[in-house]
Amino acid sequence: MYRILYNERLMFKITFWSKGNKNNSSAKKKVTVKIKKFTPFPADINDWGEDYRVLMRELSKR
Amino acid sequence: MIQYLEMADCIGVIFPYIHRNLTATEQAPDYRAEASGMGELDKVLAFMKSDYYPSFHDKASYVLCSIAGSQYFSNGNKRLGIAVLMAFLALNQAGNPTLDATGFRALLSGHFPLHQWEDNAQFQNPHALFLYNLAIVIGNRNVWGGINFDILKEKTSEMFELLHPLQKS
Repeated sequence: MYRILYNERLMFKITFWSKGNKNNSSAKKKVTVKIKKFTPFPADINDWGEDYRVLMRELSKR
Repeated sequence: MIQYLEMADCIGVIFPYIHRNLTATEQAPDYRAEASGMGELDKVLAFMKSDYYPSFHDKASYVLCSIAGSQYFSNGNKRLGIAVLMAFLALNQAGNPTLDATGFRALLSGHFPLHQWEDNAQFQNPHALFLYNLAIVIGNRNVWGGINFDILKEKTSEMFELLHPLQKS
């Protein structure tokens, strides 16, 4: 499903076709995203930082 | 080998994390006091170990969609789902995504075009904002585009495969 367009030392770019939706197959479109290569997720839950505490707080409002 | 979370991890780490970081503005639910929810959470953590979800990213998707999309507990299901997901990623030293906000938005809208992306000035980190929007998608069947829960999990797994690669040993 995904196609890696090129590889460099630090970045790779991936293109895929979105699946559209049930009632409108023409909603499909080509999507390209760039992703930096591996950096580990913070292993210690206490190191996730303020941004994730904000995430939790915002989710609590919904 | 995939590392799994246990109920003891939820009780010892996840619940305190949520409580510690939420009590300033809103009381967090007392998860442990809700026996039914604890039973369901235990089932999810046990089932994710099975071969029914063969890949790491299938398991990550299952645990988030199951908990965040459920009403296992009286409140705080999305928060719990996100926290358990992140702990599962961290436990397995999965990759931490470094897409910018535009990339995250394109990724989510590519999979769920009916979802109206919600910007929120509170978020500085685009990954946190992405998870916020993903949690909204999971909780709102109207933006699934007619797919069922199994396809929802597949789409989520595809995104996780891109965002959270496992380090090759």
